[in-house]
Amino acid sequence: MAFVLQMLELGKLRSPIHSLDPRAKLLWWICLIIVPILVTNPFILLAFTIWIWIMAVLAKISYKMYRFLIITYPVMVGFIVLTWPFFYPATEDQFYFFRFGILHWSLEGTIYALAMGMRIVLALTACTFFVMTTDLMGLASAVGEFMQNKLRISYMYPLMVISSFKFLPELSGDYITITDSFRSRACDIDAGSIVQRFRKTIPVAIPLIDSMLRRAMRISIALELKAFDVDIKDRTFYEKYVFTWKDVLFVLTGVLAILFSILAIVLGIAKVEMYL
Amino acid sequence: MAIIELRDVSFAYKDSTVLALSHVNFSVERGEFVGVIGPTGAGKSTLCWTIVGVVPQILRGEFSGAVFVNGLAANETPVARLAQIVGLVQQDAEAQLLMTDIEKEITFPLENLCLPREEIDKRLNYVLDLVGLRENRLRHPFYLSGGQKQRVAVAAVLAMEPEILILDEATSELDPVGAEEIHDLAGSLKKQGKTIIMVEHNIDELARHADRIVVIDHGEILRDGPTREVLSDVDFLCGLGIYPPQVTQVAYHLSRQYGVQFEQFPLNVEEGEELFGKMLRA
Amino acid sequence: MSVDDIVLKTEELYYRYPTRSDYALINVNLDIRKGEFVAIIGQNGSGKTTLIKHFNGLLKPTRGRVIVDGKDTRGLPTSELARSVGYVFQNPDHQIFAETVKDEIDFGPKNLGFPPERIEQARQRVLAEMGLQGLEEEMPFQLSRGQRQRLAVASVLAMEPVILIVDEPTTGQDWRESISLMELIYQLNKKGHTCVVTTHNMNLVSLFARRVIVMWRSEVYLDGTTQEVFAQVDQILRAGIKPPEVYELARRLLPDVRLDRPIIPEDLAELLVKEREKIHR
Repeated sequence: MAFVLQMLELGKLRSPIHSLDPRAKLLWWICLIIVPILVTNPFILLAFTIWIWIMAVLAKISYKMYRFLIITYPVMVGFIVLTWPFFYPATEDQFYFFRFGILHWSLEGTIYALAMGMRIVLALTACTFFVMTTDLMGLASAVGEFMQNKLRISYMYPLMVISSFKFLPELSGDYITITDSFRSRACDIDAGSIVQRFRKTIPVAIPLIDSMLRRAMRISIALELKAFDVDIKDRTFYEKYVFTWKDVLFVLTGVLAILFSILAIVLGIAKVEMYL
Repeated sequence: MAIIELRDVSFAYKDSTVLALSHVNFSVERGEFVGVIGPTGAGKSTLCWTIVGVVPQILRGEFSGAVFVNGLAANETPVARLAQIVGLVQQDAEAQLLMTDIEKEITFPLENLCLPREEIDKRLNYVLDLVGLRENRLRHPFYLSGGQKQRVAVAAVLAMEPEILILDEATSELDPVGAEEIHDLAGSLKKQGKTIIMVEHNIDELARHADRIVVIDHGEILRDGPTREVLSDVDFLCGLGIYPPQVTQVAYHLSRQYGVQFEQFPLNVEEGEELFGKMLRA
Repeated sequence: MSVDDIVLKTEELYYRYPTRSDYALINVNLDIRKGEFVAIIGQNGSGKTTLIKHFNGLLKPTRGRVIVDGKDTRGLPTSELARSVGYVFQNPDHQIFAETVKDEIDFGPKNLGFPPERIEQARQRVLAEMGLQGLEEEMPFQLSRGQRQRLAVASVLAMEPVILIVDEPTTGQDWRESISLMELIYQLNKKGHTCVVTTHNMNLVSLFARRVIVMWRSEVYLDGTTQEVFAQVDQILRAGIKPPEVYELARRLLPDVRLDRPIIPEDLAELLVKEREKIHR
């Protein structure tokens, strides 16, 4: 939970990237998720990954946050490289490190696994970059403004998303207190067989549901007192986002990434198969 | 004319036969600071909710009598409309905050009121300084102390520029320092001309700022008078299970058991020091 | 008193939360003896809850040791330490789950594997001790807040702990409810239970506790008898705590009087009258 909260805080830092419109970053992110779907050439994927890292420096994301990725990359890629080759179709023309019955491990299989790993690395980097540079709650509010003013959809739905980020950490705090209180009465939630553990969740669920219901009642009063109306009604949106030429440029880089991928497909260099 | 007026108000919650408020007559003048005390379940929260229209509009039940807030009938005027005249801060600091940072919390009600962006900006900056939370304005409430959370709740209410502020046991979950912060804030708001109603268990702190104290039990107003007069009746308060300020109790014991005469009972340590000092030297 | 009387001991206890860089507890050395009634006070964030969570193993020391009833907490899960230490949480609604008061009270003893006769005995005893007789078949959620608080204490007491720890027993309750709960805990203490209570209500501390530990900035700042601690008004104010008004008055008006027990307004009135007689003699 602490991690979710940290992410929310990071999105509010100040940098050239942070100050862009959150909707621009959303569009850019969608582009960058499409790239690894189109491309499997590990070198192209690596180039895109490096490009995002350079932008991360521009966005002044501290080393502490990279650390998470630096640990995750080798674990992820390593796991794929270790397992994938066993499932790679065994044909006669491959270079085998070893082959024993259905167990086999070939050079081609390893290269293919690396490419698959790189796809995940790029997608993961793009997601992390997006989350770390975007005020997600601001995004929810900006999308809410669009929905209310253009689509006439009540602001209640974006509000539910925002409020859940407010209440989730608190509910998880409640959960910890409740399990602690059961532990103090000699009921260890994390011990015993699966059946035993399942039976223990019932006593824990009851105080948790009770606490949620109490909250829900308070929230409905609080909403009224804060003059919120569930029906669609005009309201001001304090955080104003205007799409500037910077935002357009930024989205354009995402679109260019897709165009480049398509060009690579046309040129026949988009797929890892060219090396096999 | 009184800014709040309750005339013969009675109320029983749905599915309950007990009267949460019973024939309450109560009025508050502009600029007054009124303390409300009474045992748990006495009807203090119901009284607050009646003034902001939550009772009977959201929490339903059998309602009779009339409530006027700045001339508006509180049982019929939409809660959102009343909220611009009366602000309510409740006991549970956590559950009355809805947003993921302080700034959003304060602007949310103003956005709902359709105020222009410049006006929201002005009010946001004003209340941030008033409660001293400018530094933390982008933080998630999860990281704030109980006292800070309550100050955010007060700020969000004040941004709506109500004439009346009601604090319903707003300090009961805070440590002594956090509680003092809220009391001092209420005191300085009174000086700025706001009308304050404060429901409290901590009578020592309440005595410092309140002009007037109302004592409630079983939904009835038992006493309503100047702070010193009400709090000096130590027998009566102890009978209700209310603990008067210790200084006042010392004076009470001195006069009751040792025949010491006081013109009036002290309400705080400074007054006590002066009065008891005189007694020692006399 | 012999060393055997010590039921709870911390030795150079340090604690740091995994996600934080600064220490939440710094070099805490405490001995709590059998039969003591200790109040732990301090501002929010001063470390008092972190400290008492070490007493039943909910938290384990980062450095140093905690010895409870002769056992090092590091090797034992909380569910095992529950035999020695009863821990009552601040909000009773965080632990109450059963359909009847009876089931709620029996939950802990059953988990500890008590035989049926002992469970029955324990239940009867705690119902009487907490003033809940005749409510066995009631639904806990229909009880008043004060009764639920007492039920929470009862269901912990049913496990027959040597030490009872109560975290903020009086939050959201009025003076009368607070007094009646503290009175019940005080009666348990007189029967020999060791009681450790945290609270923000200094008037209650002054009425019931015989020893006060003040936490400030992750350290034990003051530790002594109730009257000793409250008499040090300046130090205690620095730790963000307001002592009861009578101590402040005693300091200003009776600077030469040494208090030999905790005082309430009645006592101060008596002391003032004695002082007046002394001056006039």
